[in-house]
Amino acid sequence: MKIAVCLKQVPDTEANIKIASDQKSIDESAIKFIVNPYDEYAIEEALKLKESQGAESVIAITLGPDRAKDALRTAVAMGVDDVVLLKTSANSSDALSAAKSLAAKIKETGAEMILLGKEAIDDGSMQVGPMLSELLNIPCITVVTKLEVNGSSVKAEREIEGGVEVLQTTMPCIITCQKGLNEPRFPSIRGVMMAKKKQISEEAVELDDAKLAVSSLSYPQSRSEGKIVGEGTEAVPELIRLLREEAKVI
Amino acid sequence: MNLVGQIVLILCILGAVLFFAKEIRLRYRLVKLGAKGPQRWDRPVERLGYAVGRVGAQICSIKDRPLVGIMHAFIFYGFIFFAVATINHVTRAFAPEFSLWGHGLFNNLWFLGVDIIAILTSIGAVFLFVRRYIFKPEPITKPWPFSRSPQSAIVLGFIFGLMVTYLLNQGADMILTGKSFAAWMPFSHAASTLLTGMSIPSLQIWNAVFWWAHILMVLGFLVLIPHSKHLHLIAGPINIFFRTREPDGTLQKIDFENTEEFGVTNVNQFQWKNIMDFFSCVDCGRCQDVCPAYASDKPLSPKVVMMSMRKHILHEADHLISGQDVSEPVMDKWQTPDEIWACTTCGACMETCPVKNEHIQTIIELRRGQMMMENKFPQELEPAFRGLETNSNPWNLGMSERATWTEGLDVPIMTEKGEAEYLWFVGCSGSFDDRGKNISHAMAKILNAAGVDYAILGTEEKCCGDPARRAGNEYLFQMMAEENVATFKQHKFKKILTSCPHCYQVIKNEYSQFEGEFEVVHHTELIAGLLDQGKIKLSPNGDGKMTFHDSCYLGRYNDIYEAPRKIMKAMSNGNLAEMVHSKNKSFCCGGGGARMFMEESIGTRINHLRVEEAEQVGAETIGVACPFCLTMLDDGVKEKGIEASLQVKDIAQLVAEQLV
Repeated sequence: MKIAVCLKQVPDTEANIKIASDQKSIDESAIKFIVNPYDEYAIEEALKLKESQGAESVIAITLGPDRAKDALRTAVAMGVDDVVLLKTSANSSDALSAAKSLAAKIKETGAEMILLGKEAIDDGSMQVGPMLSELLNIPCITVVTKLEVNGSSVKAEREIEGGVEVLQTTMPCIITCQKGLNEPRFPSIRGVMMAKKKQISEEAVELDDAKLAVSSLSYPQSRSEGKIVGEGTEAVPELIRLLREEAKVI
Repeated sequence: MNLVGQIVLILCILGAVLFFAKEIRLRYRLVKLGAKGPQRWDRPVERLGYAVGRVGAQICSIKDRPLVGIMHAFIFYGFIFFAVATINHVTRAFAPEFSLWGHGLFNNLWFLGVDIIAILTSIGAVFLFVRRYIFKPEPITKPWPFSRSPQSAIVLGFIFGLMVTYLLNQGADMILTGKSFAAWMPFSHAASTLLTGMSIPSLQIWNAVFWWAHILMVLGFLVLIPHSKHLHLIAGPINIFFRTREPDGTLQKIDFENTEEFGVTNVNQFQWKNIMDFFSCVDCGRCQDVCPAYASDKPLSPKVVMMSMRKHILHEADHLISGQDVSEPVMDKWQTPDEIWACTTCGACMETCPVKNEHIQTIIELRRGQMMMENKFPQELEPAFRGLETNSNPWNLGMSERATWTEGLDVPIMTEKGEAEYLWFVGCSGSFDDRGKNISHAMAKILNAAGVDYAILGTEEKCCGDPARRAGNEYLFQMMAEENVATFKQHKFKKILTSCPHCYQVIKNEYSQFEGEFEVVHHTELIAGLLDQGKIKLSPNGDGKMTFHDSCYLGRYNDIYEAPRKIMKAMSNGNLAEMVHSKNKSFCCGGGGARMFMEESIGTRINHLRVEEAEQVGAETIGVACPFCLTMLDDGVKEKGIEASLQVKDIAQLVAEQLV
């Protein structure tokens, strides 16, 4: 069995995001990029499956600019065997064209288990997993919090409103990973050093059939500052008045 | 003595000496087999002078335990005298009239000296025996089973026996030869009075018994030395010679390019000097006495680390000598994670160690091995490591926010100012932590009031790397160090100013390992200077009692004790008290050695112990000079619910409040 993990490099959760002058993209100059946190669950699950099922190898695939190599190095440091960068020349928000490139690569690797995060924290579109399913014509279970693989049969638990749904399928299949599935390992220093020296293969891809384009980005409305109305019980009447009259929540 | 006796004597001496030599050679080879490290032959004359002075005057033993030290000194000088006296003793078997010094006045003086020393040594041996086996002080009797061996009883018995048999033998000799030496050998003469009335033949027999008992005890001692902590007789002075000449606690660099093994997972990876330390340990427990981890009921005792490693390396000796792999790793049998991760790297152990052991380097080597080779470390450190990697601060707060604390203040940024006398390295606490930011605000106020020419790096600044290095993540530390050194070199400044003693230590003493030699000033030094020059003036408000808590990295590591006290005195109207542990004997806040970022779930809390010391002297204010100390002690005060009567503030904050 071969396992493929699709991952995306995204801005750090703590990064201070600034919209670029074109109003359609973000200014990347002062941003630190990380592996999409949900994809880390996918990497961890792949490594655990490799250990428990004796999988042949784990390959991590990412689609992005040259800087995305750093995300692949993190994957290598964690223990992924092979990595490939599908190098794009421009940023794209078109999930379908991205999914097509990834699907072609996955097919080439012959992976039977395809893991990815439930969404990327940058655009949060949650589309690539299901799209891969369609393109590869294999089942997809999304937002998985528990995964059991036995031979080729796959059992997955997923969160649904107010409960847990248990689904069963067979490989090949696609799993999109949710927080709670596992605790991603901390890359060992030896892994980090090995990853630094790793030759990362790259293949240029063109996303010229993109049918979606960003027309503009804007900041969310800034929230008004919090207010301290007072201390102790004396403050309660004023608090109630404000909640009723200003915030209009009670 | 007859021929048979002489042959038996020679055989006994040969046997004991050969055994001794064999055992010493084994230990020498184990040290030589240790991993390469600094050779420490630099400034040999100074080193020799230091070692001879330290040992010769017995400062090593007396400085932290005067009474015990003096008793130890008696025994030490007893050894020196009896090493020579034994030659005389042995030669008498072959030439009864022979004496090393002839038979003149000097010889008489010599025998007087030996007589006096014999009594002092006996007193010392009895004292130490009573102390160890009747009063059982904790540092030398705990933890079991390390410190309950009968070796000390045997050795002290031997020492006492040596003296007694010497005096009795000399006393018997006086009677038998009829030569009274009473004036020069008063104690031997006193011993002879015990033997008067005995018949000549039985006296002759007893004389021989005393003589043989004496020499056999000398030889027995020789056999025992290499196997026991009494190896410190030999290893101790050598270890003092090879002491580190860097500030205590300064860690060695790992050369990642040329090594595959980082830190220590197997005992054979220790450097030769670490192994010398293991063999030098005296089990005196001075380190255990001052260790904050031990005091707060953590499973760490610095001496146990040394003794356990000694045991381990001897256990593996056959494997090591024959070049085989070790049979088991250090962890978790010979050391446990809870032990090595409990260390706050406060350096109290190294400060007090009579044989100059470097406990911190050994503990950090083990952390390095666990962290970098085994990927095992306390889970709480993971976010700190991630934070340092991604956002260059252990709290993983956005790196672009590093200078937001300056909003509304007039704090120049280096890239805008271009040049400054002081590059103020604010540090992660000062930039991101709320309490730390208060220190930065106060410091900015002082610097501006005094008209100091300074600038900060702003978002160019990265963590100095101290928490990573102390947590064994040398790789991450080196990344931070290299980046900071490169940044420093891009700017024009004369000195680096730090508010955090950890930044101070690392930039001043450890960045030199990365081609970064900088003059570094801690803010207490700068403020003390500004007060001296009259550039700032204070108006002491209130008359509450103050006390100053020495930061380990400022005090013990870098010997800065007076500057903060000078400021504290100026602020407190002279109402300044010293806590029971202060200056070089200060007690850690519990936050060093990356402990700041770990949970303290075993035993009692170190910060509580320290806060209690401040309460004992009736302090209303604890002045600190380190953001970690501020956090730890302030937490301690709040957890104990005494914040109404005891406040914790950085010196900079207190100065800023009193600024006129």
